[in-house]
Amino acid sequence: MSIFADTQAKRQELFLRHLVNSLHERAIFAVDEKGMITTWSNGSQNLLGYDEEEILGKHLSIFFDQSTQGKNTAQKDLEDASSADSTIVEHQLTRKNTSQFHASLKYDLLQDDSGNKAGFAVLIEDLTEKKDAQKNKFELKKLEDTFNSLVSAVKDYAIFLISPEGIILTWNEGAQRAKGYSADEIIGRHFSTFYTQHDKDRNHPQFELEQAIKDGRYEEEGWRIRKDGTPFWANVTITPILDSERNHKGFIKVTRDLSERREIEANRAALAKADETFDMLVAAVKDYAIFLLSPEGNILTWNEGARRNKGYTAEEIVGCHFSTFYTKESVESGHPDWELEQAIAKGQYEEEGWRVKKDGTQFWASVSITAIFDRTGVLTGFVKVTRDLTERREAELGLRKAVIEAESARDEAERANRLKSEFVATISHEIRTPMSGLIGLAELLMHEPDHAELPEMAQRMFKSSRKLLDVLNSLLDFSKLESGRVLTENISFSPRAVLQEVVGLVSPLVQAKSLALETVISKNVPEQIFADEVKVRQVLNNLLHNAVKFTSKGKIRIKIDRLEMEGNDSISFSVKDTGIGIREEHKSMMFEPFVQADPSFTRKFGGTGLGLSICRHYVTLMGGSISLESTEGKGSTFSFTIPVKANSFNE
Amino acid sequence: MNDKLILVVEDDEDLRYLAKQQFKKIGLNAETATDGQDALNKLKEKKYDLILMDVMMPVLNGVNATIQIRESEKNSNNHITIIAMTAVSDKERCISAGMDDYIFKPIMLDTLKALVSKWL
Repeated sequence: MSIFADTQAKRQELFLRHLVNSLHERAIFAVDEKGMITTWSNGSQNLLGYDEEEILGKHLSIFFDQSTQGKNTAQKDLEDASSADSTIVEHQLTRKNTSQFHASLKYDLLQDDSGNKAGFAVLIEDLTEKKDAQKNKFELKKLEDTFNSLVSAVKDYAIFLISPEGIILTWNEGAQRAKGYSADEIIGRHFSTFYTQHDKDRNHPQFELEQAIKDGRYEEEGWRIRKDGTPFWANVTITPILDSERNHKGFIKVTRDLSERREIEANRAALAKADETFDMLVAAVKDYAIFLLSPEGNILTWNEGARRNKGYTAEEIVGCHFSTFYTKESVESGHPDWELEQAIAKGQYEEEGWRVKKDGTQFWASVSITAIFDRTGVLTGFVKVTRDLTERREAELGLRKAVIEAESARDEAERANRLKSEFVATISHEIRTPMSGLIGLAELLMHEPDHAELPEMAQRMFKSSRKLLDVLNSLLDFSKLESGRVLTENISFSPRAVLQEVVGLVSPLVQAKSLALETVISKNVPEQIFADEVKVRQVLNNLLHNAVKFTSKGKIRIKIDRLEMEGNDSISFSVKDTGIGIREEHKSMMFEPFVQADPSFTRKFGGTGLGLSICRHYVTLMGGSISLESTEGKGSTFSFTIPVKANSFNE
Repeated sequence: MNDKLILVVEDDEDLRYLAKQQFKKIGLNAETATDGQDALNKLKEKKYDLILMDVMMPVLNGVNATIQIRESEKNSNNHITIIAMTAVSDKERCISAGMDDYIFKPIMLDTLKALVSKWL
């Protein structure tokens, strides 16, 4: 059945039929004014389930709810369409297999050439899919919103979308954190902004996108640049976004800042390297003993410095307790363990002290012990660094000694200066006293003196003059000695004769003090000796006068001995008294110039304080030596020995 | 004047002799002591009108002897005139020890005359 008559119309009808049938998912058919189905199509069959034969002549309402209401609805649709030419409504329709679907129905009023109503064209579309799609769209929107808020909340990852051309479309918190840009700053810019100049130059960003498209995903680790220009080590993933038609819509780029991880890894590598270097370094150190101790104090490692320092090889000492290096006393007092305790308590312990080498010798060491703890605070051992400071200590001691010597030299100089001042006072007293006597007596002689007194006055003036002369001679002798202008003049002389002479000079004084005087000359003392007679006499005289001067009772004993040694004969003279003696602390300076054991003695005993100094000078000049033995309060013995050539003896 | 008695304290024997001769020359009697201690002993036995005191002496020097003399005079109205004979000018030390005057060695007759007329 056809409403088209001619060929033209036939052709048109065929075209239309083809067109209608080509709509697979849509039902398009015609009904008459009453609603009876007059045409059918493939799409109609597909959608509604009825084939052409069974549906033609059926009422439209067959697709509707089979209640009165359903029929009425269909009827009403047609009435509406009749009055409005074209209407679109939505109903729940039922297929042949009774399944229902939500449909949109479009009614178009058909008119014939003369304008009479010829029925309706009906177009039915299944809205289920559309509705689902809309629902999906809504769901998707919701998902997307969730996703977006999720993404934007992600702080550790930069997650953003870029267009197929590489333009940044979105930005999240993590991106801002990782790269430093805010969304406002970066959206719209090309993602290569984050790449190094080197990467840009080699077109690496574009390469990444191409790889992502090719493989569906691109991942790498590399340097990226933050807004402030600082580089960071990043893990980058680029995933292309394709729509359902596999059209390329852009990329998701996820970037993670790995700087910290990389730093740790780099540190670890550097540490490992450093460890190795350090170990080599330590092993090579020669001036310091550097070694590890277990928590118990057992030696774990050994270096060159330790070997040199302490004398042990690694094989010998590793495993031994470090107290091996300590002195016995130190170990007994528990000092090594105490050091470890200090190191644990304070982190480090340092000291200087004596340590013992393998050969038993001791050395002055600077020691530092550092406790090592692991991350959890558990003691894993100690680092011990020891340095041999013996040299430094010796240098220090040397320096200290030099300082002491300098100080003592200064003290000596000061003492010498003080002694010289005292000497001047003493000498002036020694000169002024006889001078006062001389002047006073001379004045008396000028004024009609008592004639009976004249001899005594003259005698006293003579005595005072001699005293003055003695002082002057002492000064002169001393001055000559000091300037080194005194030489020895050896002659053959009799020591016995010299002794006699000296005793003769002193005997009036000895008698005045009621002292005993004894002379002892050993038989082996030759009659003649070859020496400086003048000096021997002067020294002997001085010692004898001193003995008398400082002795108030008892006796004075003079002795001459010959000391025979092979090719080294010498004569010794000693003068022993029972006088006041000399205090122990004064003995050492008795032969110094200007010194008397007690300055107050000057007043008691007179004298310049030069006598013994001159004696020592003379004896030294003669190649001999002078010494004293004394006990305070008991007496003193002064002895001097002069070498005499064996062949000089005339026996 | 002739009844005045003078004590010369001097450790040098020649100077003791000289002092005695000098006082004899100006008509005064002088006795001597060999040091400060000797002087203290003599003062216990005899009354002197004037003391000439050497400063530097053994056993007990002039300054310490003077201090002891002044100490012994504390509870009486006595005050013996003590004149320092010193070679060095430590007159302050002598005055503060309680000496009344000082003369320097060598001591001449005129010095002694003036001293005597001033203090006796």
